[in-house]
Amino acid sequence: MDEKAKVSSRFDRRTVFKSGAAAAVVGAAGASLWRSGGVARADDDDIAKIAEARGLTPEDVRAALKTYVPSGTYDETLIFASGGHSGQVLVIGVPSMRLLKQIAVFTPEPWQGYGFSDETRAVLEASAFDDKPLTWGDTHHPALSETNGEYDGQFLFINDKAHARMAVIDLRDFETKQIVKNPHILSNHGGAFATPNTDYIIDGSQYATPFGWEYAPLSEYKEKYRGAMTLWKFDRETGRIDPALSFSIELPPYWQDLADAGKGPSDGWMFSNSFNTEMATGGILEGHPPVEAGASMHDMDYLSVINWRKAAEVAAAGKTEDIKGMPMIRMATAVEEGILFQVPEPKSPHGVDVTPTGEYIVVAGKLDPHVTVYSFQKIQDAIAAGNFEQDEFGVPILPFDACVETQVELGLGPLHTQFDDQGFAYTSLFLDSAIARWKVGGEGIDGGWEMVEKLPVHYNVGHLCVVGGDTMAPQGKHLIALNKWSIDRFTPVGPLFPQNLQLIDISSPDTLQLLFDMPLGVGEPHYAQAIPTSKLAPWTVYPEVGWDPATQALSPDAPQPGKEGVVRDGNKVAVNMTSIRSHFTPDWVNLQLGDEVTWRITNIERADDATHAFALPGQNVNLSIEPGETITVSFTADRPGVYPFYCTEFCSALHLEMMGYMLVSP
Amino acid sequence: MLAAQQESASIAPGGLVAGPAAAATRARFDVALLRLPLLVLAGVLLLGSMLVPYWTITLHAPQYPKGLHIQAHVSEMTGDVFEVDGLNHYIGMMKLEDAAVLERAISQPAIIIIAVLAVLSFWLPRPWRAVARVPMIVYPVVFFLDLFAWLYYAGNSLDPHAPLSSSIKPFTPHIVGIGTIGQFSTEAAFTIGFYLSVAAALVALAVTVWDWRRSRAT
Repeated sequence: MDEKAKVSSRFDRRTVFKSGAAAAVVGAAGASLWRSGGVARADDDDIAKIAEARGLTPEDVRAALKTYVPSGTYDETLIFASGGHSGQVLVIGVPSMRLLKQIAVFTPEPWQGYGFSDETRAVLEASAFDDKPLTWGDTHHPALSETNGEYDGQFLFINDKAHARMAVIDLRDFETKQIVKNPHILSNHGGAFATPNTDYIIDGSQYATPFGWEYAPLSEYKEKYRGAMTLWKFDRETGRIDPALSFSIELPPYWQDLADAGKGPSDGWMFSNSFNTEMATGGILEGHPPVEAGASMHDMDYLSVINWRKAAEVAAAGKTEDIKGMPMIRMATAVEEGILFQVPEPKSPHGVDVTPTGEYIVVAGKLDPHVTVYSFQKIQDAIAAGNFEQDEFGVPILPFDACVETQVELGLGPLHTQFDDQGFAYTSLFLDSAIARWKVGGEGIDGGWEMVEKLPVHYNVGHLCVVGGDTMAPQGKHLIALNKWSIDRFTPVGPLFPQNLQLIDISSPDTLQLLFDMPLGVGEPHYAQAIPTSKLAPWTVYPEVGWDPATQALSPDAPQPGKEGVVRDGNKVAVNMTSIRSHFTPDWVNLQLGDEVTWRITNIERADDATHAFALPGQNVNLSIEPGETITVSFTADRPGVYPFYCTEFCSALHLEMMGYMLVSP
Repeated sequence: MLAAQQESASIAPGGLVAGPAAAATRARFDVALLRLPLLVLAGVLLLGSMLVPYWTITLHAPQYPKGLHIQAHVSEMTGDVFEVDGLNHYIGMMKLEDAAVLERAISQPAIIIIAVLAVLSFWLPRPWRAVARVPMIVYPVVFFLDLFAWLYYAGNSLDPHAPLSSSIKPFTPHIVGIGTIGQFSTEAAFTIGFYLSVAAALVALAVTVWDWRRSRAT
């Protein structure tokens, strides 16, 4: 018997305590630590006492052991969560549920210098509402780029519901590279969703408006108001959406909700829930029902079924109308070309999610206790059968019974569904404040289409997220419930409560276990996607000194060491500066009143984490310059004075000394 | 082990026959024939040393968990040179690229000449043989002394205007073993290149000594 085994057996014999169950759990953990050789002195007495003193139950200890990520070690998974109306994206480690980063997207963010440099201001300004700059967004649905229906870890897309914008984040440096404003619609919700090879990013409208942000009175709602589905063409080489190759498809003025791309057998198609087929617009003071009632009167709304691949061909063939510079496939063309169909669905559903095999489409009822499962094959058969009914806009309506595979009763307020690798589906139940685990059915599967278990969450769960849970290869042992309310879960911090992201262990086929509550006090996450960290390969420093993150290439204009200086040409002044611990070169910058200044800084550091920042008082400037990065800020020296600039990132022992003077002479 | 070897030797088929025969061959073999191959070997070892680092120093500090590594080759410094230079500016130490400029510039032609001379010595008349091998024999010693001199110079001629000049006294970095400077501990060692040059020197020395003993015998 070797040393470890001896200790282990002694350990087991001594595992008899007052708090028997807790000790057994701790004992098992201790024994496994011994076996793995991780710790040399696991004192079972001490561990049990700690658990007892802190009032921890065996369940608590089990959860702690499953989530604790020791100091200096990494999480196995990252989730990218929308930041809601903070306009940002949150990066969170799983299972530790540590917030690693907030990526600035739609909202200026001084720590990252986002929205303060010329380069990042240009990203925000390119998505202005005509010429009005927008300084916030309402991020809802992050989408990781996919290759063959699986996350590839290269890019992240996210929508801004408030202004119908779409952002592209490069996962080499976790920075926003592009934001495009949808020229057709004003608010979106059915995005971002990536097609299986990220050819297109889906962006569905939410509230119907006249196209092109034009005016029309509500009395002309049916005639002038429309929904749309925009397909943004993504170019992986440039890492940018190409608006010139993007297009929209006109939809009836129902409100499109969530969407999803088909995959496998359903690749080439996409699905979008709609609600408000009543076409209510409110008018409370005018004696009409509020939208919440007016939009909930019909028993059925429509699932939009769209052949996006064919739509792309039709757009390429030019059978479109130009609206604000981007092509639109009109509804009549879409119907004529066999691009657009609708299938009835129980009223006002919310999420639509395609199963990993791509065979079924799961629609969550919201106001109906079921999920309704459609068969893609049955939808295709119904399309082939022809002889459709039509809605009042001439869009074909396929018969409900012909397309539905089954309905599964789960509970109250089903919203969204994700999948795992054990054949289970998970649906969030908003009203029940619970996660329902149910078995996906289909050919050759016993006991499919059945509810298995329900786990309470706290509280009012919206989206949920399994690792790869919307792809063709889910692989998660964790599920994150994104709860809207936290009520009594955290220490009170005033009337604006944190959200509650709850981590749930789904690895056991027999039972679900709640592991951890993460309070999130920075924005309100809607949806999140989870990816194993092994699929990500971010840079720790930029590849070369003088790298421009806006182009992801070496900048010919980047100041380089030995070539620093202030160059004057009339009243145009170029400041070419470098930064290294612990000085800026040059550190005297003499300007004259009225000078138009282009100030470039290269951080010539090559060490991990040797970021410098650049604060210039009086000009509303704070830049983050990561190792190798070059950055530009332009301004007019519009007030005489003496302005000490300095490094805002605590970079070194002589950080306070890392400063210089900008002098503007009258 | 020893017993097993003896046992296997005694039962080896033909062992008893082969032993005396081999001894007889050795007796007839003229060891002088090995001089040229040995000198060529020494030359190759020395030339090969140009391809690999001679000396390395690793700096450890809390904020550099992977350490900072510098390798000194005969003609260049590689590794975290930029970062180490950046740190050295705090104590006013010269940049690495400003050290041993002449030595690094001439090292490669010099080594080629040293190696060629050693091989050519085979054909030289007696007094010049040894002279032509002397550069190869003393080369590692010269390298060692030169490195030491530069370390001494770098550590003892710190810029008095450097940010930390008042808190760091002049010092000589350790040429081998462990030293300390500020929050850094340094770990220096000679590496394969240097040992190849030592091997070349020893081979050249052995041939020379053998020559000398043989000349005394005749």
